[in-house]
Amino acid sequence: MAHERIEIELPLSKVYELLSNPVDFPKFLERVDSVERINSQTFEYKTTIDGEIFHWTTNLIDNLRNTRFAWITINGNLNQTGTIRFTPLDNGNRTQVEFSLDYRTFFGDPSHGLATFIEQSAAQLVKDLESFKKLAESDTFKGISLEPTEEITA
Amino acid sequence: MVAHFFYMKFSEFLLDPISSRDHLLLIGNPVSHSISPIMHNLAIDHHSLDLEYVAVEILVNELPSLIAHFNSINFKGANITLPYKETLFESVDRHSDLAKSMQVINCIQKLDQELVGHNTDSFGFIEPLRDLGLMKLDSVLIFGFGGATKAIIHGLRDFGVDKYFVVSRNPERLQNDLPINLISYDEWAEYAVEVDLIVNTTPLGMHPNSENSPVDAQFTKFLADSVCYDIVYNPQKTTFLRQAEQQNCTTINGLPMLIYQASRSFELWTGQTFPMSEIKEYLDNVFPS
Repeated sequence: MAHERIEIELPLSKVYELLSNPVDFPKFLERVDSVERINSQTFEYKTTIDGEIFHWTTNLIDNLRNTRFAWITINGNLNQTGTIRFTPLDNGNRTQVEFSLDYRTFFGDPSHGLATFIEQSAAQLVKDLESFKKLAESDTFKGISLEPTEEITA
Repeated sequence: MVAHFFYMKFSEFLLDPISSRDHLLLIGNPVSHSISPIMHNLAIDHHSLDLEYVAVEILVNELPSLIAHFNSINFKGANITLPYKETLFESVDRHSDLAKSMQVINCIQKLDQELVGHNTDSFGFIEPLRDLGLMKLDSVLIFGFGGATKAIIHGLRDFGVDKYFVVSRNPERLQNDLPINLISYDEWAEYAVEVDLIVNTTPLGMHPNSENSPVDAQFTKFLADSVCYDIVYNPQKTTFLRQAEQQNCTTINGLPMLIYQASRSFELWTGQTFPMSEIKEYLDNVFPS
């Protein structure tokens, strides 16, 4: 399980707004390729690990504005659970974010590639939250396109 | 109704302001995929209690500080999950009769300053059977021989069961001190005709292997005339239960068991009733059929 805490130099409501839409998660969760919204509660995630495609469907189970946001996986071939807790700092002008992210198999041991992916979760989450902080504080988070860019060759 | 779901490492928890407020814990490793925090925090909100239920992931070397934490005035009780159900058995002051006979606890109740160990797994299993009006069973067949099977056999003691047939992949290798007949997957159909209840405790049918079942398609007819019970809750309707429905059997999925075992813990901790129907409705929306 990865559990990290970071302080963002933005008001609570703004940080909650940026982190309460899983479709935007691939902007800072480097190891998630895409998230598609199925309905207001359900989202489909996809990523590739060691050449193998993993996809999973999550349901939001906790969403209290400016306070908490959490989801669990209900099916797929990778079991992800996430919780985010928001705490106002300095009268709400700054925000502390606590992010927990856990990956495991539904049953049985993970493959070598997946085991490595899981082992690296804590270090990856540190990097990912730093990316989020940078994007959010520079006001570029919303402007990022998730469309793959074409490689230009001479 | 909004659930409150949060888990953390025990070391983080000790530094968190929650630890200095009244709290209940889920203790285990891993804990991140347990839905106990959802159920208990919904129940806490329902009764407007000034209490929080937090799932904490504990490492073996943290057990001494955990046991010391039980003395904290803000610690009000706990659920215990794998791998600590047996490890923490001796950490309480006394045990309920059932927990003592099982030598396993999944719930710690703080009664004044005394810690009482309970096992609510058996209660969780049998209550859905009582909801069907079942009071007496002659014989039971169970697929799988893990910890859940032992809890089920203890729970069924009041049902007057004469015979248990437990289906295992390696029946000849297993030692046991329970009143059961261990049989193989090749033999189960022979015994199925004489049982009242057939239970699946194996992960066959659980996501992502939801197409699997302990029952081969060609043997589905042997489920007929039995109540069929699967302790898996995701998906709620497993292949095993679909097979049973094809034979017009009464079926029970794992969600009521989960809710009942939680209800027993909650009532021990708080003395309040568990809002069963609200929690069932909430979880029905989370987990697909």
